[in-house]
Parts: sequence; structure tokens; C-alpha cells
Amino acid sequence: MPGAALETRLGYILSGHDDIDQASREGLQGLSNYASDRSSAMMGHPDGVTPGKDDLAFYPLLYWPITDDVQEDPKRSAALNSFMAHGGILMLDTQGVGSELSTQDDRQTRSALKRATSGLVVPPLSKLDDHHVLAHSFYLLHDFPGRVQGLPVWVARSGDDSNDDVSPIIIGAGDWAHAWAVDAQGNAPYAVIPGGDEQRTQAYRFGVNLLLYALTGNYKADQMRVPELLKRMAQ
Amino acid sequence: MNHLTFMPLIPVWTIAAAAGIVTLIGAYALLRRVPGSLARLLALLLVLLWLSGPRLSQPVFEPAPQDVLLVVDHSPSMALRNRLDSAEKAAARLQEEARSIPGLTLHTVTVQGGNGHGTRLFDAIDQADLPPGRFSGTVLVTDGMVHDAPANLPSLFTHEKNTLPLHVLLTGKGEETDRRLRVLQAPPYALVGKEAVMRVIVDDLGVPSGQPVTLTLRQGDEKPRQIPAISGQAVDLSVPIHRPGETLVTLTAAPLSGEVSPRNNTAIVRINGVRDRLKVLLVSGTPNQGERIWRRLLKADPSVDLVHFTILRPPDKDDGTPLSDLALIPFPIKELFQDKIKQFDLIILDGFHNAGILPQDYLANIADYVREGGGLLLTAGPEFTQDGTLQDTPLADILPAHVPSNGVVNERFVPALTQAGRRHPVTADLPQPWGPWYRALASDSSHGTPLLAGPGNQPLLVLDTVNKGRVALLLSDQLWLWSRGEGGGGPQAELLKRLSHWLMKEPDLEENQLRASINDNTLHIERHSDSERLATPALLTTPDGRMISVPLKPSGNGLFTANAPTNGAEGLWVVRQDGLTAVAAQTTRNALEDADLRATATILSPLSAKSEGATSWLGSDTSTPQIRQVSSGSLSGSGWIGFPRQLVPVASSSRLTALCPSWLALGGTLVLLFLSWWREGQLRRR
Repeated sequence: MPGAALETRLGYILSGHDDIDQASREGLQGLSNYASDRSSAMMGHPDGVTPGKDDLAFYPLLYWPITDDVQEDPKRSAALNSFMAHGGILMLDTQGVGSELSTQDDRQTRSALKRATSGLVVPPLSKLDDHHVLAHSFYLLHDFPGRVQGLPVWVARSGDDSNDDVSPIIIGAGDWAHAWAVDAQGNAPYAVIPGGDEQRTQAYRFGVNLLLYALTGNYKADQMRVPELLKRMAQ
Repeated sequence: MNHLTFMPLIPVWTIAAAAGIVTLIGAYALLRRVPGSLARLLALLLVLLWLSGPRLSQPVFEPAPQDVLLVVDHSPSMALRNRLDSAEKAAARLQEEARSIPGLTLHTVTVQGGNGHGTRLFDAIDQADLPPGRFSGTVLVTDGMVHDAPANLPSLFTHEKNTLPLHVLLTGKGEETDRRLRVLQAPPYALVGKEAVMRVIVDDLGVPSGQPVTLTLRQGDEKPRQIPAISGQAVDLSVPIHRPGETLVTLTAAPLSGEVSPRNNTAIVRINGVRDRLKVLLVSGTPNQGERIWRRLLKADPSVDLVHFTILRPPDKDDGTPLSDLALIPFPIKELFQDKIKQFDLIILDGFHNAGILPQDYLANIADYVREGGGLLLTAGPEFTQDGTLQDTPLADILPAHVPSNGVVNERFVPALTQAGRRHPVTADLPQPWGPWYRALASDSSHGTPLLAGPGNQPLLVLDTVNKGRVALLLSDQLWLWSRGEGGGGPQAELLKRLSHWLMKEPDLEENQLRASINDNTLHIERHSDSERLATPALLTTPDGRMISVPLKPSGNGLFTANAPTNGAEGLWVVRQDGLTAVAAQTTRNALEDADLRATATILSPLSAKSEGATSWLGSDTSTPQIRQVSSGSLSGSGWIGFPRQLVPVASSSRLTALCPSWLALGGTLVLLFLSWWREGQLRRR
């Protein structure tokens, strides 16, 4: 029995690096707890998956930390394309590359991202701003920090009504898993820089918005139209 | 034409030689002043002229053979009264008579007409293609309602500056009258629940308009309505459209006394009922995977206005976050669940459990909404067995199944069609294969119609009617797996679409429906039934009011069919079976033919007059005008019709007149010789 069919779980793509996979698991667990405590979403524990091998149909959202050693994989791309085509949201995180704190080589990561997305059907993207539903699907947000902040987040340009105008892909470098992570003792093992607790709260809030976006789509966008609709119905 | 010709009695050279010698000797004699030489010369020349045989040649004329075209109208309008019979008899008599007239050939053409082009007699004249010169006129035997009459007489009727006659024999005693009903305006589409307005007019042809007329409007099985109108004045009629799909409206104008036929007093109008934008209220429980699926389906449909209601933060999860940080907007629940609930076409409760969210009154409103004719779709997951379940609310009364608290079954299974599901339009022929689900609810009691079965053959999808409304209950929260492609996925969108439309009473999705259509003169009856057998045959009412019983043959999965010939009978065919009614219309195929059914001279008589032909009514007489061949003068008269006779030169034959006959030559020569002899004698005497 696939547990993810019976309760709502987030998924993360296994990178093959224990430290990163552990951070992904702790991060999604931290986010699931945070969201379950504050919203009506009831989340189960996250699952680590390998696209092409594991069944992805159960997951509304897949978190994918991009590591420098990621290789091109047509089978993985096909599985992820099918996942996105069936309404799933894939979030790619290059984990802080491009920020002041990063020691990693920019170019190396960029080519890793290129290998990861090779064969993926990526719609035209635009920069996430505070007009997007992701900025008000639960909390009101103006930026979308993770462990680092100030880096752009990319989402599909709006206009795809066949999918309730939901972006099937989100690409960023905020290193959100580390910001959301909660260890076995209930502590946050990774510092968020430079904003400390305030920034971590914002990171969680972005996570909750993301999670509710994955579950309710553009609900918030058409909620704005309800009064107008009711007015029209009165006529 | 006339010309000179010679027929010499001896070879021409001997005549020429003799003429030469004679002229030379004569000239010499004249110069020498030989007395009498001039007369002698003339006498010799006259003999030579006689020998050369001069003749005047004149052509020979004879009357040309005459081709006369008889065009007999067999168009559909000729079927009225005894027109066809009268026309046939007249044609037969003309043919008989023509046979006894030498030199006159009567060619007969019958014109069928119809097929939407009306009566086209002049096309037929053109196509007959008789050779000019022999063609000497046409007789039309018709009711006079010709749709291709030219403004001027066709050039065919002019030959060498002579006009050839176009005689018209009209079936009937004289000008007739006809009442017709015309639909000036009818909307092809109208919104369900609104009124369609059409504009019609009654025309009285051949009599002054302004007469009061009673219109009768029939719509489906409803009681006929009588509407007063005045002929010649347009009337607007309102027709309420009750349901989506085709609505047939029949309008009949009371007959005008003495009119040719009431067949064009009736009009059938088809109006397609379409729904206004559908207003759907979706109430989701805790944010779950099914929500996106619903939204993907409903938001992608431009004809749906979706009001989606879900609770993102239940009251017990308030962590003190300032409201200014939250994007939560209070929902106008009183407006939705009380004031405007009746205006929704469909309400969907998706995994909803009411843990202190909605007052019980609002749920009672939903139950009332269903009882009064609304549609409600519920999908239930584990929350259906927990605190706050809808089973503990006023909605319980209208639910088709009850699930006990231990009713959650976690088990891999593939939904299966039940016996009823194979027949029901909602689930019949859903594309296969279907992927697995992993959870269902086992009910301890259910009623209504189960279409899908889950684990242990338990009802999984149950449909039910509650008073005027409808309820569908899906006892699983796993439908989203089909949409996400789990195990190959399944036809979730199609199923939900059909379910929604069944709940909104779309006629195409009724489990019991009767349909009738007419194709190629055959009435097709289709009956979908939720039972395996039909107790009664279909009862057919023909346009002329006869009742025929037609047995319906089963063709599997609740479908029964039958065909009946219509024999082209026009009008409304009504099929009834087991309380269901279907209507099909054989609409008129010859609008142009039926537009004016009068027999009239007004169209053809001007043309006939231009050609100097006759226009006469056949009446009930047993005689037809006599055919005459006319050489000159009038082309028609009382009791006869004429065709001009033409003379043509007989090829290679001519009449010759001798210009110098023997007696003239002999006499002339003798006189001249005597004269010369006399002149000689005179001189000797001197």
C-alpha cells in the first residue's frame, strides 16, 4: 500500500549525498509540521524518491536539490515530465549558489542545472514577484528567502488555463530545505543568513504558501473574484 | 433567289461561232447599206438566242415541319387538388390531336421540380433544344406557379423577326387563394429557463389581408396555445425553453376558407436550448489532492463560473500571526449558503467535514436546494466517518448511503462498473483501462443506483434522486489518482463531467430517455432504459394523427431501438413510451414550392401575351383548345391555339421559265424575215 496515496506527503529527489538528502528530509519534515500546525493542510512525512524508479503520482510537490555532480538522465526527465504534465509541481533548488555566502563556483552550478533540466519540458519562465499567487496563497509575502535571501525565483509565465494557471516548475537558489530543517530534537540545525529568526519565519511562510499552492492551485486568485461573481448572480 | 440560266440546244461554241459569223456578215451588210439587212440580222440573232435556251430559274418553297414543345408541370404543387390529373388529361388530348396533324410534331417534356429549386419550366424549354426554324411554339400545362419565369420572352421565341407563341394552359377554374404561415425570425439558440421570441406572419394570397387568424402553438407534450393574429401583420411569439437540447415548436394558422391547401399553414421551428454559464459551488474540506483536480476541470471550462470555498486556517490553528501578515479573506458564507444558494446549478462537497465551520442551517439549505431541484455531488474520504461528518448534519437525509465509523477500507482495488453502471449514460463506455485506488468507504446501507463498485463489491459511486433534485455520492477520496496518472490513470475528467451534467439534468445523460430522429424517410427511435426489459411498445402518432404501435428491439446495455418508415409524410411525429415523449419533425423539403400554392395566371400571362400566345384555364372541361397551323394572322383564338407555319426553299429543286420559247422565236423570226424581204422588194420597185 503506497502511504502517499492515503495521506498527503511532500517528496524530495534523492541526490546520493547523505548530508543533502538528510537536509531535504529534515527540511520538508520541518515544513510539513509548520504547515500542519498553522493551516488546515494535514501533512504526512516526506518521502525521498528517485524519478524513473519510484511512483511520483502521489506527490503534489517534489523538491529537488541540484548538486554539482548531477548527470543527464533521459529516464528521469521522462518521469518528471509526466509528473508535471499530470499536475505535479517540481521545485529545483541550487541551494545558495550565486549568493555572497556561496563558496561554490557559479559556472559549475549553472552547468549542473543545465544537465538536470536537460530533456525537461520547461515552459517560458518569469521572475516571481509579489503579484503572483505564491505571494498570497496563505501569508502575504514580498520576498521569498530560504537559508540565503535576495536571490530570484523563477516560475512559469501565467496563462495556462488547462492547469488552473499553476506553474509546473519553480527554480530558485534559496536553499530552502536547510532553512526549514528541523532535527530529531526539534531544533533548527542550520543558521539562516543574514536575517536570523525573522528570515527563517519568512522562509517557512514561503514554504506554507508553496505547499498550499501545490494543493489548492490558484484558489486565492479567484477568491478575489467571488464578490464580483455574486453580484453578477444577483442580476 | 431568282436568276438567269441557259440551256443551249446545241454546243455553245457552235452558237458562239455562228453568232460571230452572223454579226460580221450583218455588220458588213449594214455598212454597205444593203436593204433589209438589219431585220435579217435580228432574225438570225433571235434564232441563235432561241438555240441558247435562256431560262429564268426560281426557287421552290414548301411548308416546314413543325416542332411544338409541350411542357407538363409535375412539380410537387401539382399534387394539390386535381391539378395533376387535369394536366395529364390535357396533355394526352393535345398529343392525340397533334398526331393527326401532318407536319406537326409535339414533343412532350414533364418537369418534376422540387428539391428546393421550385418549378423550373423555362429551364426545361431551354434543355429541350429544338432546332430553330422548326420550333414553332410551346404549350405549358401548369398551375402557373413557375419559379424561373424570365422578365422577357426568351430569344428562342423569336425566329426571323416572327414571334413564336407561348401558350399557357392552367389547371384550375380561375385564380385561387392560399393562406401561408411564414417564420420571419426564430433564434436557433436560446438560454434554458428563458423565453425564445420568434416572429411570424400570416399571408393571405389572392385575397386582401387584415383578416383575423387564430394561430395554434404546440410545444412538445404541452397543451396547445391559441394566439390571435391578423393576416399581413407580423406577430411575436414567446416560447419558454425548459431544457437543454432541441425544442420543437409547431405553429399552425387556421385555414382560410376556400384556400388551395392548408399544407403551408404550418411551420416547425427548432430551437436549441443552451445553458447560461454554469454556476458551480465547490466546497473543499482540508486542502487535499483532489482540489487541484476539481480546479483543473472547472477552471479550464470557459462556460463555468466557479465559486470555490475552502477553509485554509481552521479556528483552532490560530497561532497569533497578525492578520496583516495573512492573505486570508473572510468568505461571504451567508450570501453563498443562504441568500444565493438557489442560483447555483451544481454544488460539490469535496471531502468536506463540518468541524464548526458552517452553521447547521446552511447545510439544511443545501439539502433544501437539492429537494427543490438542485444537483449535489459529494466525494467522501475518511472524514466521512469522523467527528463533524456530514452524516451528522441535516444533509444526512438526502445521502444515498450511510457509512459506519469503522467503514474505512484501505486496500488496493480497481473500480468496477456495476450492472446498472454498464447501462447508465454517466458510466457506460467510459474509456478503459482504469488505474488502482487505495481507499474506499464501506457503507452499511445504501439506496439509489450504484454505478461503480469498490472493494468487496461495495457501492462506490451511487446516484439518487431526492424529490426534484439529484445527488451523487462517491465513497472514496481517491479519484485524483486517475488524474495524476497512477497506474496509467483513468477517465476522471470525463466521469466528473458526465456526473455533473447528469446532476444538472442534461437530457443526454438521462438513464431513461427516448429519442426520435428522421433520416432518409425513416423515423429512428432510440430508448435508453435502466431496466433490461420494456413492458410496452412505443406509441407513434403520425403527422395526420394516426396512432401506430411500434415494438422496440433490445440492442444491449439498456438500449432499445426501432425504425419506422415515414413515407415522406411531413409534420410532427410524436413517440411515446412509458411516460416519455420524443418528437421528430419531417420538415418541408420544398420551401419554394410550398411558399405559394395558388394556381395563377399572374406569372405566365404577361409572357404569353408578349408572344401572342393564349392563356386559358382548363377548368373542369373535358376539352382542350384545338391545335391549328397558322400561315398568317392571329396565333390564338377562342377554343384554338395556333402555331405559325413557315415556308422553306426545297433544297436542289427550282422552277424554270423559258424566256425565249419556241413559238416566240419562230414567230419573231418569220416577222423579221418578212420585214427584210419587204424592204428588199421596196427598193426593187423604185
